[in-house]
Amino acid sequence: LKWLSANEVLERSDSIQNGFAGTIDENKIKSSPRKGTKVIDIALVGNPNSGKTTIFNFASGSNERVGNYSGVTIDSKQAKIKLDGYTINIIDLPGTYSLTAYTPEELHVRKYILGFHPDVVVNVIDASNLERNLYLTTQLIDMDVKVVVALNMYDEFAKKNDKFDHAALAGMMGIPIIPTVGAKGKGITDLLRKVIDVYEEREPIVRHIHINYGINVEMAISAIQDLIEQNKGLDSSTSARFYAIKLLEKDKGAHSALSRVPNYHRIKIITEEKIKELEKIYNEDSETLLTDSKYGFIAGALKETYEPNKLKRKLKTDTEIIDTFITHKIFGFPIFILFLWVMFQATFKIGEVPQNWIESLVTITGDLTTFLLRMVLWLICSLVVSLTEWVVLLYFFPIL
Amino acid sequence: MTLFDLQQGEQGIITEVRGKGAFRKRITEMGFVKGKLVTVIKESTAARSRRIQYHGIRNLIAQNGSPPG
Repeated sequence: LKWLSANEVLERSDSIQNGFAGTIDENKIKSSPRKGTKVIDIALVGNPNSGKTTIFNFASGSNERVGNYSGVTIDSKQAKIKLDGYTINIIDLPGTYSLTAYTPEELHVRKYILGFHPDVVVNVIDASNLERNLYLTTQLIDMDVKVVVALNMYDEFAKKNDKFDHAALAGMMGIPIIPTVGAKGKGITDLLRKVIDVYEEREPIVRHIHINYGINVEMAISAIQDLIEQNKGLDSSTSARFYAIKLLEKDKGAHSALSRVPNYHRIKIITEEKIKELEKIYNEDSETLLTDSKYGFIAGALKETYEPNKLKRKLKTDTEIIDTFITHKIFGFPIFILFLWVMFQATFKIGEVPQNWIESLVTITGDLTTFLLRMVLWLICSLVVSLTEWVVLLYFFPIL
Repeated sequence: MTLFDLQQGEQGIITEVRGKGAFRKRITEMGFVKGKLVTVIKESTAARSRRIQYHGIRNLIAQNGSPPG
């Protein structure tokens, strides 16, 4: 005989009741797949060298490699953070300028967002390069994913004394913008709290906006979008508008993603028709047309919210002044050779120090040990010396 | 007139982006779009390259089209 306690009975009946609690609203699934589970998957995306890994490291307390040049992160890293009772799974993706499928990184980031559906995408933006960084943001807007923008390197940006109303821009794009300083860890907790707010749909700023591509392009988009939407259920996870835009951009990834839907043949024909129409009207490649409109949107949004500081702008930055000397047509070469000479000198001078220690060690132990032992010692010594030389070399090379 | 007809320190406004496929897409995505002001801040005849500036971004353009390193 098997007994069930009163509590167990209650639990079981509960679970049965929940199991038959009616159907699930499809729209609800789309907006927040796992709302209430308190586990949030977030992905860091952004241009190369915008500071994604720095933010990742600070948020997760890990120590991934960062560098002041592009392309340091070549595969994605994951970490778990606990904040305010939530478990946040954070993934650091490689840097991309765009989400077209031309380079492996772009393809990787795009596949991740479309394939794994992170609950919230954190778009890291280099505040001193707004226009170009926002291009990726416009692509995320097209994808209809939930985005929080981290306005990174905000301290350097603030030094320039430009007028920038980021709250107004956030309102305009329907995306919360949080200023952060990744290197000092400023604003990162605010950023994560905002992510939680967006996930829980408590953030009033968040709304889906569409970038207006102009009447002709919009008509083409909606024609293709209607065709895609006819395949109900097949394509519920990704926005039909996103695919329509990508098809107009002659994107191969979108074609292969849609190749399995029943009316793909018709979609293809209509797309080609619309592209021809548009290229005839504008006398411009359809890809360029959409890119132009995106930059137009960015320029318009920045015109209303951003005003560069004209008065106090330095004519030349520090690096530019250094550049005029070391990249000079004539002076450049002697300076380069000088640097090389200094490097070699440093290699041998610094290498001399352990060499002297070792030599004295050999003379001290020389009387006591046999010839064989001295040979072994000598081998280790020369290894240490050459190692120090290499360390010095490798240390100086990146500076050059 | 192309970017390579500009001398060091000269400015120009983009009226047309030539090229095809991935290169064209990449370069427009980087912000080389019609109507943008471009400044040549450094020219190098040896490498056939131009270090240029457009809306605050500095870039190096080499004539064979491939972005350097």
